[in-house]
Amino acid sequence: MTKKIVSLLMVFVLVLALTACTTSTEAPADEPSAAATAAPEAQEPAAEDPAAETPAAESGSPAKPVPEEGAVLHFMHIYPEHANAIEKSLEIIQRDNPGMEINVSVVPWNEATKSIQTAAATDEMYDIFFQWSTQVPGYNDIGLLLDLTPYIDDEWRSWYINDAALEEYSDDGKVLGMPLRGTAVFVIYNVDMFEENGWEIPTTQEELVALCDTILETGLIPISAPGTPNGFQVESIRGRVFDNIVYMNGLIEDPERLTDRKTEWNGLYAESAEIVKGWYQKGYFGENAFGLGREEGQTIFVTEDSAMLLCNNNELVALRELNEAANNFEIGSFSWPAPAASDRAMFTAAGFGDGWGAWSGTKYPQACAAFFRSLAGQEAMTIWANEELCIVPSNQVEYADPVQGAFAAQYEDGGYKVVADYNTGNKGDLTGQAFVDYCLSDTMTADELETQVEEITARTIADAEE
Amino acid sequence: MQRKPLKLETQRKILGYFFLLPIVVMLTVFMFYPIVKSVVMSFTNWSGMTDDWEWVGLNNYIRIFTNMPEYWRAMKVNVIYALIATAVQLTLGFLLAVLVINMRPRWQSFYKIALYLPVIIPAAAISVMWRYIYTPEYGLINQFLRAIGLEELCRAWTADPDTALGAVIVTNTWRYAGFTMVLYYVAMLDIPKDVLESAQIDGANRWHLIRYFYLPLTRGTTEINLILTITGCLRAFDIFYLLTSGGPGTSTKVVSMWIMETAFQSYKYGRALAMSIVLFVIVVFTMVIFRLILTPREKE
Repeated sequence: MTKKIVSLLMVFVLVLALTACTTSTEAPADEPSAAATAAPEAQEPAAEDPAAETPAAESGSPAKPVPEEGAVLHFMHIYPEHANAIEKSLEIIQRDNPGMEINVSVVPWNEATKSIQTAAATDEMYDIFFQWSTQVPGYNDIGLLLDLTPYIDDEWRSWYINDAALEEYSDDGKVLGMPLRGTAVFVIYNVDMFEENGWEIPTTQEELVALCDTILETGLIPISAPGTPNGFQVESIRGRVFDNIVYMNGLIEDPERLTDRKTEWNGLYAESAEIVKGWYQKGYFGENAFGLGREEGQTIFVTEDSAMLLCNNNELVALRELNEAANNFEIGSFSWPAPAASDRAMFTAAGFGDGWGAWSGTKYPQACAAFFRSLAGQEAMTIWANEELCIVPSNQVEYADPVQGAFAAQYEDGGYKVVADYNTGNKGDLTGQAFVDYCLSDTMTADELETQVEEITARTIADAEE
Repeated sequence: MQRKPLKLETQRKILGYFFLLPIVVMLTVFMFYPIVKSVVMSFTNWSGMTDDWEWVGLNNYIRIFTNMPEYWRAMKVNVIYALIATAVQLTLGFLLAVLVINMRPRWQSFYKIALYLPVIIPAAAISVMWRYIYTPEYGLINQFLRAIGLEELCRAWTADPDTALGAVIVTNTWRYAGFTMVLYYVAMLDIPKDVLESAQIDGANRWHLIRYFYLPLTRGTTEINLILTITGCLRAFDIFYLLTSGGPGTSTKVVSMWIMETAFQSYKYGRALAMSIVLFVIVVFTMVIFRLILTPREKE
């Protein structure tokens, strides 16, 4: 009898566990059912003549968005380290839009895409969510993104540092997201070490190469360059070298290049790879470059085993903390210089890759637009710039940190950035891996690498257009 | 009088099925249904994010076999990894079991626990630890080599395509040798001690014991270990993802990583499911082959 009672209890616990495993949230009665499904249909309510709900401006520019009454937005971000900026930004947004309720979800950056996929597939999609600019075409293909074009008034548009900032989040002529902050590779250097050794900041690529040769003779690694995953910063520098080559060959405005559809480089890609491989073989980046991750690369720099570091501007905060704990030397920065023969320092790689999107099936499209408008304003952007040391896409911010300011100045150009108009998927990973294979191979030629990259591009385009 | 036993038996049967019900439901919901659904969706162009998909027939599978060279390059990495890691892990596990079983009971308990500990340490912790061990500048391995005057053997272990896969194999062996050892140890416990003692009295040395007693009498465990290890290696993901991220280049990129990228970066869930099904078929085929190779010997 006792055994039967115990067994029944165990069955009860099992059944309870099964029940607990099911979702605990139920969609509110007035939410559209299967809201994440049939996204093109879901777009209809959002695009239901938004101009009709807001008074048209006299100039023809869309009117400032007015949030729907009782709007409740589910907002997802990946910035627990920027909790301060998020909190203050939300205060500004809610102050500008009284009555708007915002529920916040935080996910790790490497879980963001999966989180969005799961949310979309389970009808619990976020109204506003983090996205990278490279994801816009892919998300647009499946109808996930709200078209913000009807809500962006002229005043709002004028806040951006350049047109490229919004174009990066556009596809098919529609603005489908908002930039938040920029990411680009800079050369960070040890100011104290440079002064002690009398090294000058190079102004041309040739001067940088000569400097690296000089530093090599001291036994130091000239430039600590994290090369994993997929070539990481070493591949970024190849991209910089490539941009300069492309510019000097008059192809910087090639429409195929600008939309990442070029599949015939006629040796230019090979040339950039050959140059950077030569630097790697000379030891400019250290023998372990392709095994170094971000933190390892920074450690080599702060322990003064290298004179310079290839670093994203967003790593500056972490780098400074690491440096304070290590040797605490002064840190400076400069952008990778162009060859002497070039009349312009190309900076096409700089973009505002971190940003936001709004769900096409949201019940509150105006509220989403109003959210973004407040976030793009001077007050919020200044918080992100000066309290979180981010490079923001706003032309209304004055940077308090001189290194950040120097970074930001480089973004003003913003021209000629490659913005794919198709879902690039893992193309960047594939081409990065091919480049690493080439650098580490004794038999692979630069032309073979170029052919491989062209094939990868062609296959990715064909795949995206299927 | 005859009815009572029947009723009791029927009662027991019903009760038995009743107790089986929860686990059957759980297996159906969390295993069988997802498998069936995965197979079905592998014939579609499902993005994984909406319910908007179309039937594409065998397109995904045709693409895998005709237009995905990276998948088969990764499969080659998996196969090489499986063969070498299995051989090393089984050999090491077996030898450790022989050592442990011949120790005094107190030391047996200590070493069983110590050798099994890595099995339960999370992959992330193991990867972080081994990344530092492999670092050329200040890693344990290169520091040791320099200390004993073998600096010429120092390498960038995870940055050199010639050594990266080996580095992963060493890490994985360190992690799972204890598991293999425990399986062998348990099998060796079943070998009668008096048989071994008799052999030793007759002049058998340690090598004779291994060759004529331990090896043949643990053949069943070898088969289990072989199948578990090889199939585990074909499905490997965590150590590769965390230790080398598939690099340098593609030298340690495994199939599971491609599947993940296809699903979550390219939003081609249907194709990723097809890639998973192909991998599943290869794993099952491998199991069947090994079973066929090993079973006739057992019958003898």
